[in-house]
Amino acid sequence: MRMESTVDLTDEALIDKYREEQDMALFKILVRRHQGRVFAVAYRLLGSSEEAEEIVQDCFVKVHQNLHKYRAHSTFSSWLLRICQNLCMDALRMRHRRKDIAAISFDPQAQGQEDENFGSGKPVTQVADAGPGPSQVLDQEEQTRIIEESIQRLPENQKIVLVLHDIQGLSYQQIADQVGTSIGTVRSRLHYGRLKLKEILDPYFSPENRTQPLKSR
Amino acid sequence: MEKPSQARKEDCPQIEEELDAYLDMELDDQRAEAIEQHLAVCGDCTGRLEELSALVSKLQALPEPPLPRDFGDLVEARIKATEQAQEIAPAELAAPVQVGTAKVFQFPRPLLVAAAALALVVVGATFFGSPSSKAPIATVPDQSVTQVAEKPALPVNVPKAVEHRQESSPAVAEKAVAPAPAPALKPSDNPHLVAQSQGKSVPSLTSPAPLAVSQPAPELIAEYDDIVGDGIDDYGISTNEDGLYAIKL
Repeated sequence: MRMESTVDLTDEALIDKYREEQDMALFKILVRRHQGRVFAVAYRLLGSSEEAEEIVQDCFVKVHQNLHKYRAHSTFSSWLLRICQNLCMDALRMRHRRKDIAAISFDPQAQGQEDENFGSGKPVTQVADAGPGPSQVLDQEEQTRIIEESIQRLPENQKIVLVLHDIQGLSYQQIADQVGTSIGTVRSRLHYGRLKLKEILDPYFSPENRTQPLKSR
Repeated sequence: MEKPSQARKEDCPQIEEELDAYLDMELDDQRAEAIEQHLAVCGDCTGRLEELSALVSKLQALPEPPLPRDFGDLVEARIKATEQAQEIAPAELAAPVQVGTAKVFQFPRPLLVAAAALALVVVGATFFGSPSSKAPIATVPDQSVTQVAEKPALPVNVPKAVEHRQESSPAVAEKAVAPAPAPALKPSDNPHLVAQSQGKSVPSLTSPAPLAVSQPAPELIAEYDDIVGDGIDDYGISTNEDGLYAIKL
């Protein structure tokens, strides 16, 4: 009976109740309420289901450890998302260290935009498509796969903003708060992220290329 | 108001940068109006906006990745394990600590000090202790023990000391449970055997001749621990209260 009433509580009310009662069932309601979104963000940022699963668990364990620090002036979901994003950033950094990959930052205006060089690579103004050639007909599943893979080729700072805005639906202000930057930077990263994504996806989706099996590059 | 014929191409780069924010409705009214005026006369920028809109639509239409499992119970188990580890951790156990990618074993400082003090006492007693202050103890010399171990009658079931180790370290226990490897004895390696093979009389193991002091092999200690009554009597070996092995003189 108690569970039926608690599932209707807001996140903040659930947290208050959990603080009072220390009933793990209450915390699990929070987990089940947000696990889908946390997994989706982690999956989009990392491009790996296994790593995203680890992030989901780490994220909620961290939330539990720091629950006493949570203050209701920000929504629980944005706090949760910030923790998730930080964990994903850590995972991406670890991945870069392990594989010693030099990330390429795409920025046509690289000379005057040092902020966009966030990450570890040199900025470039031309991005070659190293992926597979475009196919004429893409079914929905294939299209999803191509877009997901293309997102993974974006520089991290652009990828985060793009995922949070275009896929998760956060506003510029929310993203700026989340990432800890200005709205202008968010706008800039989103602009260049979309520009690069469009360039990667053009061979697959532009109308003229759909009639041509392969575009030589 | 700007007429269509007056659209300036030099405005296009600036407009293009703002198209994202315009599409996302993140521009103030004044800038949004300026862009609409430009779009009304600029086919290129209108085309770019349509492409941008199509891209964003594709992203927004991406299906939510299917959740591979329910994480409620997994998270609960992780939290409980973490809490338990924190309760047990620092005083009792040398728990591995994650430092970067490596796990490092950290021992509490008092334990380290105690261990160091104990080691000093043992070393000091071994090398500087007065023989007259103790009961006469002669540790079994290596070669003699080797000869004893050669006898096949030694039981090979799990000794108590080994059982105790087995709980804490399966690897050690496994090593100890396995029958002690029979030392490859060649007569030439052992002066007793050499002498016996040559028909000479050799001093018995229990002779009062001075014996070299050395530490018995650990696997043999494990075997002796298990020997009760007859086993030790057979070899004339006993232990004193310090647990040191001695041969009865």
